[in-house]
Amino acid sequence: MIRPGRLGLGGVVIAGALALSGAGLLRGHAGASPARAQGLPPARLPAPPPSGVMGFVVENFVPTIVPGMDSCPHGTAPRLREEYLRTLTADEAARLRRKENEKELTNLWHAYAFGAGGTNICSQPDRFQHALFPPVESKFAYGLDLDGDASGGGGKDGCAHGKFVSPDGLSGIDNQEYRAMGCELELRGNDGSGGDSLTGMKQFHTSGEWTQVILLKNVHSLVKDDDVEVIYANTADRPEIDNKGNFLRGLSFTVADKGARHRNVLKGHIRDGVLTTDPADIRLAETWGQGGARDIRGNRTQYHYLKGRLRLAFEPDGSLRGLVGGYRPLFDVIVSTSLGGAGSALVAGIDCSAQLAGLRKYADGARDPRTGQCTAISSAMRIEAVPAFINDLPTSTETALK
Amino acid sequence: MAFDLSRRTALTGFLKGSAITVGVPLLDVFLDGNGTAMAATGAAPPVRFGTWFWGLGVNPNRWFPSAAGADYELKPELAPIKDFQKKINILGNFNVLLDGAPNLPHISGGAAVRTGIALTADRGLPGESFDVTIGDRIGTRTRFRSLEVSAIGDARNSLSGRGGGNLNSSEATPAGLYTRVFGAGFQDPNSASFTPDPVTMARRSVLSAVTEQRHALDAAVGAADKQKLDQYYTAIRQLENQLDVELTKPEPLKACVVPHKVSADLPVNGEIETVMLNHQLMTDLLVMALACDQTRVFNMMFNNGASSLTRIGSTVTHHQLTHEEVLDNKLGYQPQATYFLTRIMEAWVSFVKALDSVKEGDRTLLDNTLVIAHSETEFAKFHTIDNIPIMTAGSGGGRVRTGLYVDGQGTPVSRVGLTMQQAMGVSVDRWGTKSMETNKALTEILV
Repeated sequence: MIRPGRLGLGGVVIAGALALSGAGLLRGHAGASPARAQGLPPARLPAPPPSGVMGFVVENFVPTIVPGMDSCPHGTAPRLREEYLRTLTADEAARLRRKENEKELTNLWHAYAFGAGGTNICSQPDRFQHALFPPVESKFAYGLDLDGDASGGGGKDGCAHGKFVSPDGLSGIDNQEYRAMGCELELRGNDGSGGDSLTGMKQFHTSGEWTQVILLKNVHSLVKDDDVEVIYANTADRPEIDNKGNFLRGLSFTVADKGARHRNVLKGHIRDGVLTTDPADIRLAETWGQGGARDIRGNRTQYHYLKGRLRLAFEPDGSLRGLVGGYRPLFDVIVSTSLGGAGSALVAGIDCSAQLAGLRKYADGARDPRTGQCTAISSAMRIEAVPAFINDLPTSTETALK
Repeated sequence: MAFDLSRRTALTGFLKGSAITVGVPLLDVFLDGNGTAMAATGAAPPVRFGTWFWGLGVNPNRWFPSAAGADYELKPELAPIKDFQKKINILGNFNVLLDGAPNLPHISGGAAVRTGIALTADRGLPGESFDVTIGDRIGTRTRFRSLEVSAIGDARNSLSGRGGGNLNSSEATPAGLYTRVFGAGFQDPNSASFTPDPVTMARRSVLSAVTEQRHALDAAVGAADKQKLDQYYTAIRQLENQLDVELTKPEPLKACVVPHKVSADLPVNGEIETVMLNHQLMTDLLVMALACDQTRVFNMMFNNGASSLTRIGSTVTHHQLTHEEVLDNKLGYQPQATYFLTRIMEAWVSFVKALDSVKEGDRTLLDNTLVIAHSETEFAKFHTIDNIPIMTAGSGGGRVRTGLYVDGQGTPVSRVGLTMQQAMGVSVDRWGTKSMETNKALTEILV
C-alpha cells in the first residue's frame, strides 16, 4: 500500500470532483493567517517519512488580503460605469444617474472604454490615461521579504517602495501588488471581508485546470535540514473533494512527462518546521477559461514569479500552509482581464488601464537599468496544501518550463 | 445518370399510387417509434422528448439538494418546482471533462452536455446533439422531426444539430412558430375531411426522382465525399418522411386543440417580461404541436448562454450582472443577478405545468414526455462547468423514474446524455469522447 509521503506508482486519479459546497465556493478565507511567523516547536512537528519524500496537493492558492475596510479609507475601486461618472460634474453625473437616462449613460460609459482606432481599455490598457484606483493605505499585509532591504530602497535591482508588516509580526514585507490592487472589489469584497478572487480561485484548482502539487525530496528533519529538493509543479489530474468542499487527502497526482504543465525545481531549507526555498524563477499554470485557439483568448497565461520563493509551515495535521511570493511581470497581473478585451470592461466593469497604471506606479522589482523603471511587482499568494502521492515523471532536468 | 423530370410527369407518376382522399392504407405513420399503436386506437400515446435550456446556471448552494434520493430538499432557488417535485429529477455533480481543451465561456458546457464532447473551438456543435439522435428514433413519423424555439428571440440560439459546426436554427417569435406549425400545411387531426396538398405531392415525387440520382452519385464519389453527403442525405430522408406524413390522413387526437393565431405585432426583445410572455405563448403552441402530433421532439431555449435578459427599460444584462455584481458576502450570492434565475425557474415551472395540463388517457402529456432542462454553466461568475445544473421532467411514457435527486459524484456529464438516449430507445451503449466516453447510464432513473 502506498502511503502519503512516498512516491505513488502508477496512481490514477478518478477524474472528477464533487460540487463545491456553497460555503466553499462562495466564502473565502480572508481572515485566515497564511503563515505563522514562527514554526512549531519540535515536539509538535510530525516526523518526516523514512523515505524522505513528502507529497502535497495545493488546496488553496489565493490572493492574500488583510480584511477590513480600514485598509481602503477611500473605498473600493469603482466599476467602469462609476469611474466614468466621476469624470463628470456633479450635476451631470446626477442627471445621468436618473433612471430615464440609463440608456444615455450606458452609451457614454461604454464609449469611455474605447479609444481611437478601435482600441479599448483592456486590450490596449497602455493607450489610456485613466485615474488610478485607490491603493491600500494600511501598513499591514501578508507577503515575503523579497529584497532584504529593510529601508525600502528596493535593493540593487528594485525600486523604492513602502514596506509592510504582516499581521503576525513579520517586518520587511514586500507586496506591492496588494498595495496597488487590494482595494479592488474582486479582492476586498463589498464589505471588506474578501472578494470574488478569494472564493473563485479554488474552483480552478478543483477542476484540474490549474491543480498544483508540491513534492519534497531528501527530507530528513523538520527541525533543521538544509538540503531539500522541492518540486513545485502543475498536474493535469483532478483532485477529489468531500461534501464540504475540502480536498481528499492521500490521492495520487502525476506530474506528467508531456503536456503544457510547469515543473519548478527549487532548493529548500527547513528550520523549526518552516520550509523556505532559495530565490528562483517559478512558473505555474493560469488558465482562466478564456476562449479558444482561434482567438487571442485561447492563449494560456501563467503565474511567473521572478526571484520566486516558498515559505511554508508544516502543520500538525500533516498539511503545509504558507506563501509563495516573488516579482510578477506587470502585465501578467492583468493578463486574464486584458485577454477578455472589451468584454472585461463592458461586462465586468473592469478598467484594465487603471489597473496597469497602478501596477506601474507601485512596481518595485526587475528595474530596467536603461529607463530606471521597475518592470515587475512584488506579490504573494496564500497556499494551503494537503498530503498526496505525487508521481513525478519529468522528461529532463529542465526546470521552470513547460 | 441522365435525368429529365417534368412536373407533369412527376405528378402523374405519384398520383397513380395515392391520389385519393380516403382509404389511405395503414402506414407506419400510425405507429409510434416502437411499433405500438397510437392513442386513437386505445393504446398508449406516443412518447415525446424535449430539452429546455437556460443560461447562466444557479447559485449552487441555494439550488442543489444536500442529499441524494427521493423527497429531496428544495432550497430557495429550487423551491418553485414544489408542486411538480414528484415529476422532476434533479441531477447534480456531473462534470464536463475538458481533457486540456479550453473552457470556452458560456459555450463549452452546453455543447458538452448535448454532445458528450469537449469543444476545441467556438464553431457550433462538435458532434451530433442527443436530441437529434433521439429525433431520428422517435421523430421520423411526424410532420416536423423536431421544433427548435428561442423565447429570447434569437434564431441562432440553439444547441441542437448534427455536428460539424452546424446548428438547427430556432423559431424566434410566437407568430413564426404558429405559422410554421399551424399555418399552411397543417392538417387538423380531428377534422372530418382530408385532402393531400398537391404541392406537397409534387415535392414528394421530385424527391423520389432525386433518390435515384443520389444513388448514382454515391457510386461516383469517394469515401470522403460520401461522408460529406451523409448529412445531406439524412436531411433528404427526413424531408421524405415529413412529406409522407403530410400526405396521410392523421389519426384523431382528442387532446389536440388548434390554437388561435398569434399576433405578429408582439414585441421580441431581451426584457424579462417580454421573454416570459413569449415563452408562455411559445410553450402553449409547442404543447399543442405535441398534442396534435406535429412533432415528438422539441428544443426550447429560454435565454442564451451569455444571457442578454434585462429588466424592463434597463440596459444592464443578466450576463453583465453575473460578472460585474459583487458577491454579497452576507447573503452568499449576487441578489440582482439572482433575480433573473428566480424568473427562469418560474418559466420552467410554467413549462412543466403546461405539459402536465394536457390529458392523454390516464396520463398527462408530461407523463408521456421526457424533458431535460439544463444550463451551460454551474456558477456564471466563474464560468464553472463542473456540476452544471440539470433536471428532467416527466417519465417518458413510464421509462424514467421521477422525483429523485441523483448525485453523479463527479462522473462525466455524458452519462446524462447516454441515459436520455437509452430512455428514448436509441440503441447506444457507449457515448461521448475521451474522458467523457461512458457506458454508465443513470440506472437510478431508468426503469
